[in-house]
Amino acid sequence: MSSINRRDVLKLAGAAGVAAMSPWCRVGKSEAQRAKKLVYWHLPNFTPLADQIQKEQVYEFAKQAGLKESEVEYAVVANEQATAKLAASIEAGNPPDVIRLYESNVQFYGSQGHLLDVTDLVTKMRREPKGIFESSMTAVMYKGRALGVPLAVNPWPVHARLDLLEQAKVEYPKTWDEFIETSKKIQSPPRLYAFGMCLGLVEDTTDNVMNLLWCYGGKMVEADNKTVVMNSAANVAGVKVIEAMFKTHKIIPQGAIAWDNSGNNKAYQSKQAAFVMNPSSIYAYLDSNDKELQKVTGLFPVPAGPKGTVNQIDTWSYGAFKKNPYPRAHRLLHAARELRQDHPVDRRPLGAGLQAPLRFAVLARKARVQTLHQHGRDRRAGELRGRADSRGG
Amino acid sequence: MARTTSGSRRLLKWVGNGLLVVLLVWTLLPFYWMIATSLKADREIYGFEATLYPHRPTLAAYGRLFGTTPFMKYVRNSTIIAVGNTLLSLVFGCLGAYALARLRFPGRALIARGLVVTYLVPPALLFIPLFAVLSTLHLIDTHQGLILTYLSFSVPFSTWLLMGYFRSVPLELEEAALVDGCSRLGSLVRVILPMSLPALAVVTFFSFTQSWNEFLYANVFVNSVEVRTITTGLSLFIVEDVFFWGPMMGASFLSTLPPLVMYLIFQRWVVKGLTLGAVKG
Repeated sequence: MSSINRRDVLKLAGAAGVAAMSPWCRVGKSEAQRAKKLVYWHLPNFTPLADQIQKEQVYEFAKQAGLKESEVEYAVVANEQATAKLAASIEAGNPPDVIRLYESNVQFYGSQGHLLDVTDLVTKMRREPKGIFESSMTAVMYKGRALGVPLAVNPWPVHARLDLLEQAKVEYPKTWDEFIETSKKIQSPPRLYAFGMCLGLVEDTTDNVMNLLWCYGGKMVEADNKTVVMNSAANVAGVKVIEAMFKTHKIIPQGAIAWDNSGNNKAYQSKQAAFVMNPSSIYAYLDSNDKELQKVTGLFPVPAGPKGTVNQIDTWSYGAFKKNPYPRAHRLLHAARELRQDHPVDRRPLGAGLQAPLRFAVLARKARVQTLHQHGRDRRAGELRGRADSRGG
Repeated sequence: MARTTSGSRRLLKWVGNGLLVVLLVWTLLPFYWMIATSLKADREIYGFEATLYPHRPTLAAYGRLFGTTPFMKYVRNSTIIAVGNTLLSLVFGCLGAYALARLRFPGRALIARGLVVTYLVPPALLFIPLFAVLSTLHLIDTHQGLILTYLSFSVPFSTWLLMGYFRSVPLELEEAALVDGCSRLGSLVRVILPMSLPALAVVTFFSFTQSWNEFLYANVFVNSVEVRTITTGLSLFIVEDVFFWGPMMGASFLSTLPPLVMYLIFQRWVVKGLTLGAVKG
């Protein structure tokens, strides 16, 4: 204790002062950086390659918009955390300039008046030779105005184990009735259930259930987009089919009612389910991690019900926030128009897990979802896919 | 009678040891599972049957972690922020606690109670207003911004804890130092702090661990890789419905090491400090 003198105390106080003030030294620098940069928030795709493609796109757009690379801040934001980050940044009046938005985000932030109206830009893009996949337009329109620029589509095919179908000497089912019968033939519970249908209280359940209800003429809301339709005869008929699959035929694992969004992925990837309905995340996983399973995986349309079948496609968009401090953010979106041309992204494999790029959306319009079937490998798979394709789902 | 008492003690000891074993397993099992999963191949992780140990151990997950992700940058950022916050918490905590424990001024009790209230406000209520503050100060996406934010929970705790300790130091010792010519600051540095090492160890450990593990503020206030911390970096191993279990478990395991090392270093003082705090606080 006697070794501490006044000079030591002064040194300590000085050190404390420096430590306390050091965080503030770069404040001015930080402010200057924010003023100069265009901030883009990227929500990761299913594979690093897909992320790389999109990063290249953004920098390419920025270049076309006359921005230097150093003027773009490309931030990767985890999907699950984007909502909290956006809420805080919007409240503080400092949202990102441009962000990749899911279709429900466009409607949500659009209805609150946060998104820039890009109707002029989207209208121009629609008129151009390769245009925009028209089904994607509903995702970006709000009260007759476009609040996002369609970027990519995300199909929801049925992933099917071709080897099990072959083993049971059956084809991919065309209808839900056939689906149940086929399922009973190929499953061997508890190790293998036929249908990995997500039934937990999560988004994938909504998609899985609605994909089936639509086939029975069911719907979630009326055409006025306001009236909720739950207790209709069509919805009840669809739900009864699910109930029968779950309770009577037991082709859906009992634990599916507690699954989160990854439940059906895990079931298929661990070979515990023969069929699942999911976006391209499973296929992307197989492409990177399990080539053997990928070889025996086929992508098919949803089986038909009394009212036909529906192939769901989600749309991702670019959106720009009104309250962005960077005046040239708009130019990035305008540069996105170039995507319609022969952008390098078109030559990348869809199996990379990128939600299919816009160009693919144009292809899909012509060839429908069956275009995805090209990814199969073996001959038998090709035959099965060919039959499925020929039914013109 | 003595024999019965001895038997009871032995029984109590066995029960106590049994409980300790249960607690030990409870605590160590997640660590084991993290390590085991990080050494498994993806196909084994997703296999039908969960395996207790890696049947074909592989370092692929670590290769991916260090080869394709900026994990070391996350470690660097977490270290800068945790160390910065710890140092500042010690400085502000000591000064604040000394003032509240020794000086007489109006509103002293109110401020002391206010510290507890501040500490009890959940971060979920604070992150939006704090974002607005940091945004105004242009501290979003900076190390400084996170350090400043973390002080909002570490300084109240540090001050409250140290206040209890400082009160336990006999006033006569400090008065003697003042009589001998020490200033207030001198008596704090020369008399009180050397006698409060256990408390300082607790504050150091607490501030470091809290900063290291914090997620919500780091997630909301940081965008770039240059500032991103380990906790928020971990969340990038989940992409919608795809979980990259191997690298995520590897990163989780590695991220537990610094607090563990800190605890091992300060263990003696931490245990003493926490015990004393319970009585004197």
